[in-house]
Amino acid sequence: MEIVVSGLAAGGLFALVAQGFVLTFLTTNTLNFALGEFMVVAAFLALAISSWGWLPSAGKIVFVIAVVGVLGAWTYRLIVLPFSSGHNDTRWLLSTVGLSFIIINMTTNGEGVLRQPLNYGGMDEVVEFLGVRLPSQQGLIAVTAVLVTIALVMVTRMTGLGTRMRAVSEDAEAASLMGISSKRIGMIAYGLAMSVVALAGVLWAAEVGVSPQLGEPLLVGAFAAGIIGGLTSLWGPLLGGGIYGLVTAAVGESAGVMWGEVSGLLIVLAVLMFRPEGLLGRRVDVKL
Amino acid sequence: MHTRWMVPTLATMLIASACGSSGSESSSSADSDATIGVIGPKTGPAPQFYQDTQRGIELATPIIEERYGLELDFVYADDAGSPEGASRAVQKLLNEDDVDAIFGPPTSAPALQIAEVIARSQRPYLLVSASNADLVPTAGDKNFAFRTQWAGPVLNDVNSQVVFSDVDGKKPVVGIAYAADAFGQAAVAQYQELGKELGVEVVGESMQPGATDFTAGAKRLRDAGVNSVFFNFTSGSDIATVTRDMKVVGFDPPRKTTTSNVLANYRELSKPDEWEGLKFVEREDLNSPNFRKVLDAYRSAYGEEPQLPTVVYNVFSALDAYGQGLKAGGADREAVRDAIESAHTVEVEGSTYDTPFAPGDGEFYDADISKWHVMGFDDTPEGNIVTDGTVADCTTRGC
Repeated sequence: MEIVVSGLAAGGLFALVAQGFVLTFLTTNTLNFALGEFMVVAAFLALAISSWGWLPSAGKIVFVIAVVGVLGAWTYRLIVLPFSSGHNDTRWLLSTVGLSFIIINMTTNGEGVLRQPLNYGGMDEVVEFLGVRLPSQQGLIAVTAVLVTIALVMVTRMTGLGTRMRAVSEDAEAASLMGISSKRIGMIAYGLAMSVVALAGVLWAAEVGVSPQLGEPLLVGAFAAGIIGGLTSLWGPLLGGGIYGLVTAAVGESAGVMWGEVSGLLIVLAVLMFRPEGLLGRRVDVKL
Repeated sequence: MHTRWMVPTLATMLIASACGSSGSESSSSADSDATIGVIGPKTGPAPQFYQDTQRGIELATPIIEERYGLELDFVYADDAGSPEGASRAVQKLLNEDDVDAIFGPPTSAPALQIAEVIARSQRPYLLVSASNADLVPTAGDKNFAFRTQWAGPVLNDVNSQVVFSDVDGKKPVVGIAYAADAFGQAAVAQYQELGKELGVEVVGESMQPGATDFTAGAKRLRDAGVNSVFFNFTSGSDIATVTRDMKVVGFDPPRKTTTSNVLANYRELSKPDEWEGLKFVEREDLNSPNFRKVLDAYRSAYGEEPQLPTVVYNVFSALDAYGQGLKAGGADREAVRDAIESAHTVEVEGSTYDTPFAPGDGEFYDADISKWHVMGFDDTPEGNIVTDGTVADCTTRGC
């Protein structure tokens, strides 16, 4: 039970970050490889405004989410869109990786690598859940991952914006013929995705501190969660994160931390080999 | 925006991001007695070492200049914490700046990378933080390296006497939580070897530096019945991750020991119930009046505590040794080396160290446990340092 609870709780964090991958892939067929660095930007921004005593903690978090969301939207417009002019154009991969290096360099040179405590957005207690001790912050992040997923599913299924996002996801060209701007939908998707990532960044930074390395260790887990669950399903990250967290916790405890991480990546390889669209992903058949 | 704007935009951002990561600074004047090159990670993974080395130099230099009637200049070079960066930095310092001595990189890999180049150039190589044993040879040709930091094996030797001492009258089960880097791996190998010799079970659990989760490792140490755990990490924030996750899994062994690296960035990220019972071993007593003089001077000059107080202190001792050598040897670098080696005493703010070096011995500190100290933190939110006594006291009465 201890492994199940702690593994699923850890998977919640990966799931939340992985939503950043899924949202952008669903609508633009691109991934932001600077995702981890957007967490870093969010965390440093949260740190920078921590002295704003007039704004309650929740307000500060909302402010960070909004700012990083806008940055995400413009990242799509300036860094991704010009380098993704067709199915065979994958220069966006290099431009987003380049962006991640720039952010790492700037934050490392500007702020140093020492972790700095973030004095809001976190809960210190260790709680017992089903007889298992768990940091309350980790539980909060897992619950947040579920709530964010439900909210995103509702937005995509029950709103006009969601309909347009799904239309672009199904067939961007046909959608544009119907008057839907895929550029605008792409910016909105990136904005939403980076907002979710910013939320994950602030909540995690409140637990472990703010540093330029904040996002890097989570990126592999988040990518794994996305691949396992499927990059075309909003429910995918929850399932993928849960499986990845569970397997890495179980193997990590029985064989060592290093083997835990390896086992999680072996699951990713297995999924890529036998079900490349992911466990909940949509298979796209091409008619010749 | 059109694609043609992308390249210049990205290039501008790249240049902007790289601005703080290169070059060197100097404070030289024409009539100085010596110019000392200082290599350290101004940028990169451990800038706290660079900052405290530089600040230590700024604090100690006026004292040494007055004590020996000298004028010293310094040229600083950034190695970005990498061996390649150290190579570039040392070439510039030796060939362009023609420095008379080098304050070496504070981390071992860059320091090792340039050790041979400096030895060939026959200029004193002063090490105030890097701890790898190979940096200071003990045999062969004349040795130009002098270290005022403890050597890793010496620290491990002293620490192990605490870590391996009995718990409740029985041999302990020792757990080593260590960084998956050269510093951590060298330590765990030495502890495991020692465990074999002493017939003590040693369990090792590694963690990537900078990782934010150690719960699986903490559970494995707990389930192995570890009752004496040692944390071997370069960064205090890594130790914070370990003690936090030990608390999460309810693992609270009777003995928890680490190195003075815990002083850098640990208490800011942890809480009193996480450092309760945590001890660290250090050669100097950080609460001694003379050590406090150094800390007070630092606080007064910079308005904050040093991240690495021992590095600041080691700079004082290294500069005192070099000042003596320079006064005796003048412009003859080999004579300076000889004078450092044969110095009778080194003085740091009232503390004196007799025969600090000797032929074939460039190490300032030895493993005499009656001179090493065990310290911990009190239960205030600031975690003030509390001295428990010497390591010899600790092993006698039970650690």
